[in-house]
Amino acid sequence: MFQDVYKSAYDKIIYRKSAEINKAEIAQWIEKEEKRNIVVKRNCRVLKPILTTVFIGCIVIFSIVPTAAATIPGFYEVLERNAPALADYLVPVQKTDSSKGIIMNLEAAKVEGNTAEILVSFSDEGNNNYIHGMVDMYDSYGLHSYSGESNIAGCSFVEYNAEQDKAYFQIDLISSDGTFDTSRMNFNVSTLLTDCESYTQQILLDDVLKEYDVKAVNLNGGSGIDTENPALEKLTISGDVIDPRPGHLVLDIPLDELSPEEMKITGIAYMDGILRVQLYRGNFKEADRHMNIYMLDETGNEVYPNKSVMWHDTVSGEEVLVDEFYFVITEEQLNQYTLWGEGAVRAGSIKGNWSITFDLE
Amino acid sequence: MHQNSRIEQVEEIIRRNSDMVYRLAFSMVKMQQDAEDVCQEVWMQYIRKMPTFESLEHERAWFIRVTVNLCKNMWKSAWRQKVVSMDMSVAEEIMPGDGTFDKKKEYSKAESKNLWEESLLTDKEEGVVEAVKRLPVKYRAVIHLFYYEEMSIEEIARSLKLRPSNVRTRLTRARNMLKEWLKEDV
Repeated sequence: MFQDVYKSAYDKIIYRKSAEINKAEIAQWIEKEEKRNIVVKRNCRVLKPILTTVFIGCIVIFSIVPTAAATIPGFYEVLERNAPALADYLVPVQKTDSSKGIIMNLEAAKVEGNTAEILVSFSDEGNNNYIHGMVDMYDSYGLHSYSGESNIAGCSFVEYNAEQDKAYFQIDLISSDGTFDTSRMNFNVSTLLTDCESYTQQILLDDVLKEYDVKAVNLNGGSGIDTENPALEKLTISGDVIDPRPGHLVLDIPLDELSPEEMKITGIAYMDGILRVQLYRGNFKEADRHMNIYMLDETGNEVYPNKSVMWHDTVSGEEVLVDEFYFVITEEQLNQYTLWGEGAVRAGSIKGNWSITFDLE
Repeated sequence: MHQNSRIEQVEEIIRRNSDMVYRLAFSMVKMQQDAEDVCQEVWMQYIRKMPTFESLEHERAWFIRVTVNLCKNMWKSAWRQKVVSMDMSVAEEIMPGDGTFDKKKEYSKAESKNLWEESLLTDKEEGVVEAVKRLPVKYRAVIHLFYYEEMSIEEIARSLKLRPSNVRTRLTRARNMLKEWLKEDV
C-alpha cells in the first residue's frame, strides 16, 4: 500500500543535526539574534542621514525612470539588461489583460494583517461565449511578487454572475511571518477550462447485466478501501512479459460509438457477489472528467467501492480513460441499496496567456 | 522571560517539532543540505518571533506553515538555482555518464542514498519516494502531510491557510499522477 511504503521510507530519515542541538547551541542562536537586532538598530542611526539623501535622490530618479521605462521601449530594454531587479519593479501596473478572446480583470485586492484577498474576474471579449458558467484554471495559475517574498496562494472559483456574464475567482495570499510585503504582484494564468459542471445523480439498477463477457486489460491505476478483498482476486490476471502493468478482467463493452468528449456509465453487471460499474471518462489530456461512485444503504449510509481500476483505451484515434468500480455485496443488499454518482466535468480547454500586475496596498 | 527558561522552552519546542519539520522540508526541497538549511532557518524564525501557541495543534500548524514557506522561498531564490546547477556539474564529474545518463535522476538518487545512509531504502520505497519527488512542489507538501503526518484535509487546509477544496484538488491531482507513474493504488 502506498501509504505504508511512503511512511516506512520517511521513518528512516534521520535528522543528523538533532543531536547537536543543545542548550549552549540555542543560547548562541539567541545571542546571535539579539546582536543582529542591536546591529540593525545601530546601523539605522548611522545610516539615517545617508538614507534620507539617497531617498530624495531616488524620488527624483524614480519619477523620471518609470516614465521613461513605460514610454520608451528602448530605455526599458536597456534597463532590463543592466538592472533586471529594477526593471521588474518598474513593470507597469496592468490590471486587465486579454488573450484568446477572454479578458482577465483585477476586481479588488484587500490586505488584512498577514492575509490578502484578491478578486479577479474573467469575461468574454466581444461576442464570444466562452464564459457561461463555472470556470476552472486547472492549476495553471501562478502568483509572485517581484521582491521574492515568500507566500502561499490558493485560488478558488467563487461564482459565475449571469447578469454581468463574469466568472469570479478569489486568491488567498498568506504572508509567512505575520507582516505583508506590499510590493508589486503578478498573477498569471495559462489554461482555462470553460465547460465545467458538477452534479449528483442516481444511477438506476433496473438493467443490471447478470451475464456478460469480460476482456483483459492492462491497468494504469487503481484505488479503493478494500483492494485485497479475496472476492476480487479472481479479477486479476498476471501481467505478460512485454507489458509490466497489472492485468485485469473488465466488462467487455464496445466503446466505438462514444465521443472522446463525454462521460458515461457504460455498463452495470452483477455476478458472484460483485457489482461492477463501468464508467467511460473520455479524453483526458485537455479535460478532467471524473465521478465518485457510491451506494446508499437502507439507513442512508454511504457505501464505497471495495476497489476501482483505471485503464486507457482508444476511441476515434484519441486516448481515453475508463474506470471500473467493484462493490462486494450480497444480492439482498443489491435489492435494498441505491447507486449514486457525483460527477465533475472540467472541459473546454482554452490555452492563453493572461497576466495582470498590481500593487498590494 | 528569564534567559534560562527561554532557552529551555526553545529547546523543548524544537525537539518536539524537529523530525516533522525536517521530513517535511526534505519532501519538498529534495536535498539533504537544503532541508537542513530550511530547518536552521525555521528555528531562527521561531527564536526571532517567539510566537505564543494556543495549543499543540496551533504550534504544529505554525511550524508546518513556516517550513512550507521557506521551502518555496528556497525554490524561488536565484542563488539556489545557481548552486543547484553547480552541484549538478559536480555530480556529472563524480558520476560520469555515457550520453544517455540522466544526471538529475542519478544525482537525486545519490542524495537519497546519502540521506538514508544508515538504512538504505528498499526498491519499493525508493520507487515511491522518487515518484513523489517528481510531483510539483505544491503537491508534494499536501501528499506528505496527508500520508506521512496523517493530517485530515481540514487540518492541512488550516495549516497551509488554504481552502479545503484547494487541498482536495491538489491531493486528487497528485494521486492521479502517482497512479500513472507507479501503476498501483494510491
